[in-house]
Amino acid sequence: MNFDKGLIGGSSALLVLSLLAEKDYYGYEMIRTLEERSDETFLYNEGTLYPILHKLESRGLVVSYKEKLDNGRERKYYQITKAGLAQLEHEIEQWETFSSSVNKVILGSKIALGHV
Amino acid sequence: MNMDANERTDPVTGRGRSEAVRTFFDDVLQEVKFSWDHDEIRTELEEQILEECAYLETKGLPEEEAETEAVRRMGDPRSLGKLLNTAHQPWIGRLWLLTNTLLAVMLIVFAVNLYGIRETNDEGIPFGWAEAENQGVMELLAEDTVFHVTCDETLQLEQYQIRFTDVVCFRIPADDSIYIKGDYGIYIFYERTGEGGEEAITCLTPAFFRDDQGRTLAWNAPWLDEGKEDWNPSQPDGRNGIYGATYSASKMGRFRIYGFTPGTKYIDVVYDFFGQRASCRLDLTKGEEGIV
Repeated sequence: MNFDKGLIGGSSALLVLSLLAEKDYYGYEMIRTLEERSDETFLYNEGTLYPILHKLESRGLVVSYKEKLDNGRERKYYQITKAGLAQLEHEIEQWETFSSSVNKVILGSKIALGHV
Repeated sequence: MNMDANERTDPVTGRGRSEAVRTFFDDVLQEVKFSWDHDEIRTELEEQILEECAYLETKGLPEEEAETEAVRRMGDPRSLGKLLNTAHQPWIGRLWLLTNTLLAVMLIVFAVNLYGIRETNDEGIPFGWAEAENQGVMELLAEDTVFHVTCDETLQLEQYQIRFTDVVCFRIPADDSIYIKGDYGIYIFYERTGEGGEEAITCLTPAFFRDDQGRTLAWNAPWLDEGKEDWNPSQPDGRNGIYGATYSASKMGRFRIYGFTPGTKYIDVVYDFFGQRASCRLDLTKGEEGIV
């Protein structure tokens, strides 16, 4: 299914912070997890995750650290901060209010279309 | 060990780096103006591409095709670069400027305190002085309160919302090294929503205050009275009328300004959040008791 980009963009921070609330992630791992958890509904252009992460970091909602791998490379992990957790709570509340309100409005049309 | 994406061969795996990868990084980084972060960005995106390559090769794609496909999945490099550019602003330069400005103002305040002079300086600051960081909470008794205005004015600065709730005017009860007995001061109480780290603390203090006579106070020193008891400005009575504001990076605080002029009708609180201006007008004519 192709989603309106505005819908996806508006909830990116919510999705990313939700994952990081569970544990620390590195970028590629986060992309794969988002795909799997959403049954491949959320298929980002993989690069676009990074501006989101960097923006969250500049706002103090996440921090990053590096781990050295066996092959000599460094992998950058992200960790949610206390401020990030508070923001996540706020975003979840907003999302629940928003989606509940939308559902109420579209109920009528769903009945008309025979979906309910 | 960081790799240079522009090298033809990956020094860790020995793999040749395709033209597609090199071009991708060139196009992305061309859009990121803050060049100090280029290496960091390149390393992270390269790790993404390498992991995707490895994944695609396990799915049966030949090495070169896997690399091309991995780059394709990163999306349009110029669009990506523009998005990264918005997240990598040159804050160091602005922080340097802010630090220098604060230092200059602190030197002025120190000089004035040293000589006991309360006069305008070359930059025209006749209005008074905001409380310095280490001066703590002053006990304020009901008899010293001149008026109390409740207000409900809000301004928005990106993800932060600042709501001004009360303005309390008082008279300085006694002389000390800085305050002169009988002079007037005001507290402006506020609440802030929207979470942030260091950015929130340093950038959410006003650039200046300005009253209806055009007098301005330009002082950006927030004070942090962390750990003080909760405040309740609606009950400024009793012996223990301590206006201690619990200030944290995410809740509420107060500004205290000395040298307030009785009869002032309003105060504009003006913010400059990295060049984004916002201001709020606090009407002082709605007080419970008249201004002396």
